[in-house]
Amino acid sequence: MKIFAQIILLLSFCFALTGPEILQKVDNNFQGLNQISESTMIIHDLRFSRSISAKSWSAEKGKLAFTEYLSPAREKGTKMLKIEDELWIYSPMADRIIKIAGHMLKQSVSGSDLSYEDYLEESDLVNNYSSKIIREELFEERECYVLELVGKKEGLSYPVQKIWVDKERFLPLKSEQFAKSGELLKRSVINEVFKVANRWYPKRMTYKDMLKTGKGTEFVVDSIKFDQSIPAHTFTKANLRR
Amino acid sequence: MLLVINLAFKNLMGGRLRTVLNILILSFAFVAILLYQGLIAGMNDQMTRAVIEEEVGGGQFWVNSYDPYDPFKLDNAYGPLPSKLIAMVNEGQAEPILLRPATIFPQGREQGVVLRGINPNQNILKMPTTVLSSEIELPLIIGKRMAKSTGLKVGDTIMIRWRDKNGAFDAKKGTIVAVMGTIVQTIDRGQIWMSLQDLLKISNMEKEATILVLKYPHISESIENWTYKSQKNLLQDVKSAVDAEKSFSIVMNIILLGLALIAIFDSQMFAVFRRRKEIGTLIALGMTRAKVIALFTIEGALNGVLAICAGFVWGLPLMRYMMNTGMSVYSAADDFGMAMPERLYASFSLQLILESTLLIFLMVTIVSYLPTKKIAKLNPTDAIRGKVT
Repeated sequence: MKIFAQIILLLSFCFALTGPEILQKVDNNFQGLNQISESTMIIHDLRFSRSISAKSWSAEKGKLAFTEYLSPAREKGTKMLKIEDELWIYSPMADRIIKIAGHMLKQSVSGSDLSYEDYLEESDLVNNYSSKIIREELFEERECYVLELVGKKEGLSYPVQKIWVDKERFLPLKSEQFAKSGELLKRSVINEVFKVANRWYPKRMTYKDMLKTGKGTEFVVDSIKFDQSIPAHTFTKANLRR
Repeated sequence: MLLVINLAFKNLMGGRLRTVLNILILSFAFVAILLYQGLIAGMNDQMTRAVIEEEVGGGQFWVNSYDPYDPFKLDNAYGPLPSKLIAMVNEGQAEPILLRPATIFPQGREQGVVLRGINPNQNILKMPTTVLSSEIELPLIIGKRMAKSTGLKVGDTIMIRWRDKNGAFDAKKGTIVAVMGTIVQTIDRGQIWMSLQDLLKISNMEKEATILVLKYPHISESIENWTYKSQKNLLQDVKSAVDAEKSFSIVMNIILLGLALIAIFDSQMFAVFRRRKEIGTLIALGMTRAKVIALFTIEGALNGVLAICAGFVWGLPLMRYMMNTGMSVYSAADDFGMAMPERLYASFSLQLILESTLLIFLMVTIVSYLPTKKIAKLNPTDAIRGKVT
């Protein structure tokens, strides 16, 4: 009996997942050849809330992204194109295309708690961060790995992150982003998940910029499709005025 | 000619109340024009002095990628100083300033700012930078407008979030160690000053800068990736603001002077009509038409001379008051984005006084002459009988 228990223990060590393996599984949930999604962003200010719904196309691990606002009427037709580190925004009211680059990509989208980078980029944790499991704990009644991520390269927005990864579904149910100084900058929580194309995906998330007041921003994925046929002209500046 | 002047003076004095009223209104216009011009000149002096002392210095060098009107480029607007400029810094002839975009969170609100790093021991710009060498971690200086808009005061701490040169977010609390009173809005609104060493350290930089402020304007050429900006070039905004004010002053002058000149013109027209018998008699007695015209013109012009004298009598104390005590400026002017002082002190140069005096005299003379042209066409016999053709 004692030998059997030791074998079980040994096997559990052999088959225990490492930090990078967990991150790879997390990334697998988020990444695809490309994706087309419809989402709603609900921004909760101190006094009122407002929502923006949008349709997005992305490819090449988020290097290419195109988003069009569908509502409210005031924002409808606003389009964003991201190619690598450059972003162009088309405003139908002004009929102008504005280029945003550098630090402006870190600014908030329409007063929300999400930056343009948060909003448009796909998860690529395994390539960007080295990781280690610091403990295992329950989060919202789900068994989670708690991982500490440290940036592998310079230039990452968040040099240090801490994530709570669902042991079964490999979704980061909670994540915290820290500044170089250790100051907590942002916290995001997955409130609801759904299964799509054999993978788990967040249905509803809450982002909170920890440095400012407010109740955070909810992000609801209304629908998402992976590995679709997206025409190449989608990710062109000409598409902004179409 | 002396006879004509003597006669003109006597006629003018005979006008009594009419003359007094004309002189009063003209002297009011004269003093008002002088005061307005003096205030504009004073505003120009104050704004120029403040901008030079607190921002521009003797001229500046800008790293090529810096464009103050393009906030999108600010993130990359920095570079190492060339050796020639480093030598100037070491000699105390120039001070580097580094500009970095950041975000602050006063009362939990997100607000974009520009962090400005400056050497605490600098003596080129008239700013209280010595307090930046305080032992407190991340000491900061803000302007009074920034303090008002953010609700910050000396001793308060504020969370600042920025990105280092590689793009990584960082955040730390800084402490306000001074609130500086400045009329230069470009170094106040949305600006936070800190030690250059602190800013270089938190930005993961070593010796980079965005602007180099010169002590004296003795260089006039760009060096490597640094573009020279002359003091004159950097004061262009002040000049534009003053020019705009000057354009408005022209309109004001036209209105003020116009009112006074209408009174003179009216008096002259009335005089020519009322004194037609006198004109006819003078011509019949042998006075040439030109002399009669001169008589009436000098009468009018003397209004101007007396108004200028009266203007100096009652206007000088007022001008002196405006030079020494000044006047408080309408507070909304501060929101125009100009380096507008709280009190404006008038400045009167000899040229300004001479120009204004000459302007009044010439305009009054011209306006006095115009109605008298009618005299040239007068038939003396008709004039004596009181007929005007």
